[in-house]
Amino acid sequence: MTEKDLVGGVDRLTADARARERALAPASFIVEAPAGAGKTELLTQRTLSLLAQVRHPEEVLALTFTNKAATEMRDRILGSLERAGRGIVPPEPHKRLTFELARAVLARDAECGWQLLEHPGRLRITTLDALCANLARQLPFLSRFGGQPAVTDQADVHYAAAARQTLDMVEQDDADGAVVADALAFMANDAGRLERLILAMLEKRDQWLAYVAQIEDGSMREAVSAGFAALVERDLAAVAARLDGRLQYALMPLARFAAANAPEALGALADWEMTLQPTRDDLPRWQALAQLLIAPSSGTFRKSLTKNVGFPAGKPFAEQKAAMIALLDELATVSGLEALLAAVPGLPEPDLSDAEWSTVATFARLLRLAAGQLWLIFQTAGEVDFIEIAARASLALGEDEAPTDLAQALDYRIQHLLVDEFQDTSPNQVRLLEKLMRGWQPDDGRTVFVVGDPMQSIYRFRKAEVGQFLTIRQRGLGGLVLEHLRLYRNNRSFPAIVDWVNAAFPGIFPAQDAPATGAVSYAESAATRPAHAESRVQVHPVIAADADTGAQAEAARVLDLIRAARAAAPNERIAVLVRARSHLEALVAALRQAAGEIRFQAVEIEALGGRQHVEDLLSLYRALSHRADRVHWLAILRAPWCGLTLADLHALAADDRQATLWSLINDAARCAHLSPDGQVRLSHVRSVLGLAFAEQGRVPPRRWLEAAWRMLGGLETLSGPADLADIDAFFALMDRLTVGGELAADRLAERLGELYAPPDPQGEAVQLMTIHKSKGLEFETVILPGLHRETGGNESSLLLWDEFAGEDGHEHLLVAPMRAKGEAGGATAYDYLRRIEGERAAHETERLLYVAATRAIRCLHLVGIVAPDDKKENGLRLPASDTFLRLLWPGVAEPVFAAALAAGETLAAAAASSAPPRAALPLRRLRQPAIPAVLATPPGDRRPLGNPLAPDAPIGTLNLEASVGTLVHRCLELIVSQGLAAWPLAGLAAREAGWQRWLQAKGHDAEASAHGAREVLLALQATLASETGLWLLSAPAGGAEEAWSSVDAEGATVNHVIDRIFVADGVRWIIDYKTVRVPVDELPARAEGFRPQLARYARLFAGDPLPLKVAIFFPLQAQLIELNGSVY
Amino acid sequence: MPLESTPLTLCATSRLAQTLRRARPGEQAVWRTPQAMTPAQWLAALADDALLCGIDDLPQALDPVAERLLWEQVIAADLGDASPLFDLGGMAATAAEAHALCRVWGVLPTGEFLPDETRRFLAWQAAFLKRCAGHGWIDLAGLHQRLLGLIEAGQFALPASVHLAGFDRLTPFEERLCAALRARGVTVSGDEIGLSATVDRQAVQVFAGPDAEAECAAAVAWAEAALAANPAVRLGIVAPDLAGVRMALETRLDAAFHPDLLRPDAAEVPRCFNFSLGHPLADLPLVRTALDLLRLGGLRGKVEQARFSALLLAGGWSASVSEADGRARFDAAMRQGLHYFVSLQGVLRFAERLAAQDALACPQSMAALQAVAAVFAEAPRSARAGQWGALFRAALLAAAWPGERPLSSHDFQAHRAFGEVLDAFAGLDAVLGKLTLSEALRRFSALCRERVFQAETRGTPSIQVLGVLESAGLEFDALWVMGLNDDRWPPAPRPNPLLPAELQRQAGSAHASAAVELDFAHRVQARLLASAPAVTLSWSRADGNRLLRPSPLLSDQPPAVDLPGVAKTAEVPIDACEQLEDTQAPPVGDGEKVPGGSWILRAQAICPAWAFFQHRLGASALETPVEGLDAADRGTLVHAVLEHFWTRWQTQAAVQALAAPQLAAAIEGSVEAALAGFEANRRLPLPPRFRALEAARLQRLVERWLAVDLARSLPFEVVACEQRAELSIEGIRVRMTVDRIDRLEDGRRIIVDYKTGQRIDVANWAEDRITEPQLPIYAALVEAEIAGVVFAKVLLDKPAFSGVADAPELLPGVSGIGDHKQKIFDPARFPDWPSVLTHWRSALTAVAREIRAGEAGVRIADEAALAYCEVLPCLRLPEWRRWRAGAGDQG
Ligand code: SF4
Repeated sequence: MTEKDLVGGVDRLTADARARERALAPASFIVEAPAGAGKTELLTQRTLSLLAQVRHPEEVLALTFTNKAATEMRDRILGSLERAGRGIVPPEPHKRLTFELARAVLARDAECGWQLLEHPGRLRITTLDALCANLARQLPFLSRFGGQPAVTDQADVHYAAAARQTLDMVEQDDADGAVVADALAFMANDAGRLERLILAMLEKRDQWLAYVAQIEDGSMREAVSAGFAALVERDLAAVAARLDGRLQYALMPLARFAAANAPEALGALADWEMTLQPTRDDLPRWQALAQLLIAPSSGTFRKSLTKNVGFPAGKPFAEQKAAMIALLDELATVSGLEALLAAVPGLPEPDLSDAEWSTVATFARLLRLAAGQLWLIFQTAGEVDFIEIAARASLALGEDEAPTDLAQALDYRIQHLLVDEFQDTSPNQVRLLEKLMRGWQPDDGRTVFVVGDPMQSIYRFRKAEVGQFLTIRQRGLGGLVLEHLRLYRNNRSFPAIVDWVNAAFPGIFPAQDAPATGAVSYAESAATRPAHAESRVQVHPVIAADADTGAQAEAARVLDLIRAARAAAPNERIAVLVRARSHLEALVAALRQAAGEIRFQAVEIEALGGRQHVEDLLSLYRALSHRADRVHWLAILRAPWCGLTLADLHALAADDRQATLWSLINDAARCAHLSPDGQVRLSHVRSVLGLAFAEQGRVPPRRWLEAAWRMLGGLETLSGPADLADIDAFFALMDRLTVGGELAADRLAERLGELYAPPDPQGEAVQLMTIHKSKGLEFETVILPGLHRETGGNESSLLLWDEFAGEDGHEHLLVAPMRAKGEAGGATAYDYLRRIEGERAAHETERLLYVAATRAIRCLHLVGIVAPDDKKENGLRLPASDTFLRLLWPGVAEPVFAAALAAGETLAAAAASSAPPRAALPLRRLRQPAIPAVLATPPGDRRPLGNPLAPDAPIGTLNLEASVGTLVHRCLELIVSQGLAAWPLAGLAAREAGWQRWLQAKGHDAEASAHGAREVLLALQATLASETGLWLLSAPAGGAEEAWSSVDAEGATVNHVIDRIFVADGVRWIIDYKTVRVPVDELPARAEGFRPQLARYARLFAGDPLPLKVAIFFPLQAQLIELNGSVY
Repeated sequence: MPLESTPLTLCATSRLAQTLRRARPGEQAVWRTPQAMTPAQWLAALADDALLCGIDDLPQALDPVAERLLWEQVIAADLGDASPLFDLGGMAATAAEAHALCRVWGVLPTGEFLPDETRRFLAWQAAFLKRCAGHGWIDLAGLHQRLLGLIEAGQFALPASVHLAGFDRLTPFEERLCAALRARGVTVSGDEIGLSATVDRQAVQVFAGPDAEAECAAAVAWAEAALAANPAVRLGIVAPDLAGVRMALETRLDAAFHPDLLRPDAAEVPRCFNFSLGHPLADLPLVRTALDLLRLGGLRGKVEQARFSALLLAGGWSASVSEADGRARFDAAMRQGLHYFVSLQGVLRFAERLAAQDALACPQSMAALQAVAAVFAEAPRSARAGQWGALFRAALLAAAWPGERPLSSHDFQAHRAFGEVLDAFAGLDAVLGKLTLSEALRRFSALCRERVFQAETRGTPSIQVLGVLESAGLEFDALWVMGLNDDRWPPAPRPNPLLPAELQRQAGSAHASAAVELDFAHRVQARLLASAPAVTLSWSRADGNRLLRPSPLLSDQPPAVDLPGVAKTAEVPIDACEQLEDTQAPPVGDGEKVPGGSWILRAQAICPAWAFFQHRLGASALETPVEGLDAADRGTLVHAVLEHFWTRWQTQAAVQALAAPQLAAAIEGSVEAALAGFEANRRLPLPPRFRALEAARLQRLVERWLAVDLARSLPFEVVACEQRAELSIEGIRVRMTVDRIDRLEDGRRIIVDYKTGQRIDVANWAEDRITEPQLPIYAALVEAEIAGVVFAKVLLDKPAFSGVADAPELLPGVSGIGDHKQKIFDPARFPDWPSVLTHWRSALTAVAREIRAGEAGVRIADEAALAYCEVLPCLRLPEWRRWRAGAGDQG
């Protein structure tokens, strides 16, 4: 055992065991757990041990990074409780600990009556996003939310809408309009570009919205200057530390000499006599000095001196020149100085210029306007994004001065907080955690426990800030100091892998942690598995001059590796991991060529939209959605289900460019000019699409399209089950996107671009994915191709923001605007911030490589391409910066490539050809297009009949006459059930007001209601004053309004409501009330009109022995008109 | 009062009530329809009675919509200026729920230490009640309490017996109601609700599936088997998350039982299954169109053009069938001619302009839209809901809504339901008061969204697909309950946030706590297990990458077994395709016009099919409207400014003679002329501020560019601007415009093409297929004396020339032919300028000959060259890629 293997005097495994034991203590910790350390088990144990101590299970809150992780952890905990409940003691020691802890929880559960297993929902294991959503919803008032909006992770449409609305404000004649105009002017009136930039800023508004007010009123300007000054001075201090007094004094005379000769460039050094201080005041001199010493093109010390830098040619100056060259040689030996000096010209003047600041202010205002528009759009859409939710949650928790009573709000007190994947939290999330921990004191029994691995922080694009982990490790969280624990064990990989990682990564990662630039130093692991003979790490060099040849060779190499691994261990899993999806294109094509031999899953790699059958389907939807979309109409006529020849297309469409193709297709005379085959094909399309158009809007979009596609013969154009799976995925997407019965074709196309082909379910053994997707997974064999590849940059932001913790622990906010198009100038604050961003990105690349390498259990294969280069000493071109290969180059990759070059493994370049191929794509189409048999029969009379509507048919049924009729009915019914005594004639008028309200509630206005109520009064008065009325209403043995049912010819139930039915004098009376205002002499004719209705009632009693009489009673006229003759 | 003999059944759900009313006792042909309704329906009838007979002066009940509106007003008044920040509708719904909890469950927050949220709520509640009292209104729960009091006081004719059906638990209010009925001598039965008797575990099966999809597939397969065995069987499928699985289930059920009904004309044919979920009325196309017509027809201000597009492309109004093509064409024109945001007047004016040119394809529809606009133009600033309702009717009539197509059965029902909502809208007069048009529309749309529409079904379908609540009291021959995962079953508690959670827990009010939900789920599950002789339960192991667990309520059920695999019933596709060579279109005939200028040569060079589809068949992509100017417009303007400028000043010397302010003024003049010309051309005045911004941009850009032009060492004169040329190459007529021709002092000419974008490709000029043919055509085929062919990169960043010339140094940065710096034209192949011209001539002629011959196959050298191809969908690129990779290039 070497000394390196010892940590604090004990070996790594012992240190690891101690840390794990300590981690269960009731104190606060920050735990570093490298890849494969089994941190989930530790989290589970910690959670269990806390649960055994609390009063309510809700007091333990565990936060994970993803939903998936939350469900897994919940499953683990509940699973361990179940196992403990069954009482089977596991044999493995670490599982035994979990078992014991779970038993203690069950005991506590029994003691307190939690019934955790019955109420698994009481376990608070969730993501931060979900927690925020919960808080915002539980505090609708404090969160300023009000409702319970849905949360969407696809808010980009809303951002785009907000950006457009903001731009549209430009014509407003107010201050807001002026802001937009200023911003547009700054962007050279390029509205499209400004729109994209606003959209991008809205996506990360959580980072800047809080500062906008301070920027607008200018109060932040000084703070920003101070921030830049601190940064600049920090960088200068680093230079000064290497360029000590002695060197500076040696430089002074030469610099003054040069300055005299080149006053324009180096004037700042003309009177240089004192050592330069690392302060902003000396910045101009530092920059002049750097200019003197460093060649700007290469960023290295000057090799030659010219008159431009104050050393003219010629004898008289030879001495100074020689001295300078000698001094430059000496400086070159000072480690790190060159790079630091090279960065000095890029240091910005700490004070933003007035112009810069006014740009910042303009954009800040613009963004506030955009955020306002976004909120309006969210409100209309009834959904918000995660940023909004988090912001509202934070609002609901209150300010530090006026905190919300959390215990009351949440209905429980958080006693213990656990956070997983802590390296991936963003600054805002940490702020939220601090709010949750407000008022916590050390040793008050409350604890926080965060776990993570700064070496695996790879979510910068999701605003993860690894520097935070380092800072919190040092300074604590929310006022609590966290005890730092480090795990060492790697349970995953065999020693060959672990040792290789331990050997390679200290050289890849920076030597020192640096929170500000996201630099993380390497921490070692110790393998717990025994050595394995077949375990290894191997670099596979491909040396090729041109990219295509190289890519093919690389793909072939990877294919060989997969084959070999499959052959050696058919049951093991292989992963091919890449930095970006596009890096897999050549390989996926190669795998497909080897069709069938190797089944594989390309996890979210292949775009679904790139499949012809899917594209055809989309074209069909576009064509159906827009008849004037000529491109897609031509496309669907060329698609396999139709397959018109070029000649037929020409005959159909060439001479009429105005009409829609659909109208051309329906032009019989025109179609007669097509070939006979073409006519058959066109009539197939005509009949199917004609049917689709006839029913447009009556079926949901997905079914509409599916029907058209199937009837066209779409299914018959597919070439296998995999194609069908793509189609299913497409339709599933349509289902998801259809909102309110609508789906715009553009939106479908847009989302389709983000959808990936479903993976082959039988291809689990070989998985192709991005490294980000592989996080948390493990594979026996990992192949890492494309080591030489870079990833694309991203569009620049309007403003760059940064928060930087100075040496004093003070947070500084930095902000800088982008440079306007066409403006020249020197170093800007914006460029400087970009450089810092670049450094952070570079450090993340290191970590990404670490994550990829540590996925391997047994074998790790590294594959990359290097071009030969005669001009280089080793004959190889240096891999581009920002590539894995560059990181691995010194010591790991270079020797292997050099050996391969020596062995003559260079691939010759293939002859380039830019000429198009001579053969053209053949036409693929159905042999005989026809509607599939199953869909060929029209539904005929199974279809409910259409309902012709008179062109002036009223909308709605509100009708005073009808309402009055109903009201009279109801009253007559009440009179029957309550008895005449309850309805004295004299008391009727008093009830008129109630009737009027009744009518108003039906939607009649006050005037109509009054009129109606009067009508009712008249009707009832007439009825109750008449003998017929009294007889009718008081007759015995009957019911008011009786409902009867019968069955119709098809066996369905039919309802009949009979107004009045009773038996009097051995006769059954069936009476219907009709409140109509017509002269008495017209009543018999009216009554006749109701015969069919009464006949229907009468038929219900067809088998009844009693004689039957049917009649209509007209209350207004108090007339009972009997319908004579046969009523059946 | 006497008791009525007809017994009454009070049901937990209206679905159950409806089922009971429809039930046929035995084989009877005629029977008294049983009285079955929900307590709320029954109490509403009692309230009606009270009103009509003048029993007690009951306040008027607010229906739920009206009640929420009132809450909204109360809350908005309290929040004041802050209210726009809130989702008031959501807040009102929460408050209304809290209020109902207070009434029904007796949750009464008192004391000093109340949470902020509750204190606010109490203030709102007081204001709410005050307003109610002021207007003689009452909320529903309050009305129910009053009615209960009246029953207790001996009012109303009550039925002799009341039976309770389908209740899983009774609220305190319902218990009090039962007691009151009993006290009145009514026989009450069915209210002793508890966990049902033990169930035969033999008849229960539990399955675990990989995901919800698989559960749906298995349930459908199960139903298929059961119906095959016995066509008369009554099946139930119950899912706690019915909305979530609805699509998947519906699609699968349809595919399994009615594969033939996929036809669009069979959409309304009755199925053998039925879902208990309806759709919001506003989502029905007919209603959506009506609402859009009202919104756009009454539009004051601007909206996204896409909203008008949607209205035009939707059927359902005016000449919806006869002008369907015309409307689509109008939309295509509008996308090209109008901005991203448009006003109603703007659209109508645009239509008038087209009409004036005799190019309006949908006159009847536009007249209808105009008529709608006229209806709204007369509208008052604010009016009551009833008045707005009348106006809406008039507007829809003017729009000839619902169009020319006869209504289907569902359309008809939707039409009727829409009318009812419009009627009901008028009933909100009192609560809403006076409204502006947009307010009225917002409220009315909300009503349409809330109204749930379900097309009527006749008879009882064999398979009922239900949510948990809707299944109350129903009975089946066999039942499948799916989705029994611990995250949904029991449902997560959701105590009302405006009331203290502790109080709700104590009251045991609905959704108050985990215990309440568990108890509820236990009851429901017991009821479900008893509702059919054979019951299947299922749960999923995962949802995407989320791991799921079984519901704790399954712990006393038989252990789960894996779902039986469902053979994929969907047909495995058989490829019934042929492949044939078809790369040859008819040759260009004598009379055939092939428009497209030099573009057709470019397209043909890149991919012959592109040229065919775009130029011979006239396919071009639908435009996407933009706000402001798009890249092409911005380029056009730059061209126009420079044209105007050089036409005016002619020579380099003349411009050099101008002093700085004069030069600036000269440019300004040209900018103004260009903008004016642009506006006249488009008949679309640019908005003033935007115009000023654009002028400033042009000024700056042109100043910067002229600096490059003026710095040229060889003096020049601009002899032509926007020079048109027409020629015929191999019978293909090519019309083109050359941006500018300069003449040097020695008479040699240089042709200049302005480029305002970044992408410039000169390298193709040395290739066999010239993909930027414009300048070579001119140089090689139109004018003799051309000594140089260049692009002028008119950009703010790095403006410069790029191209080739007879000799070096004719223009800054442009290398000469035969020059050692020449990278593109290999001196070996191109020793001198004539050799370049010869190459161009023969290359262009070859491509033109291809066009004439009708060569139109898909063959592409470089896909990147297709970046701006508008007809990509016609080129079938994925198929091309696969074909190339598979068959290889046989050529
Ligand atoms: S009229 Fe209505 S809203 Fe106005 S004070 Fe009276 S109760 Fe309140």
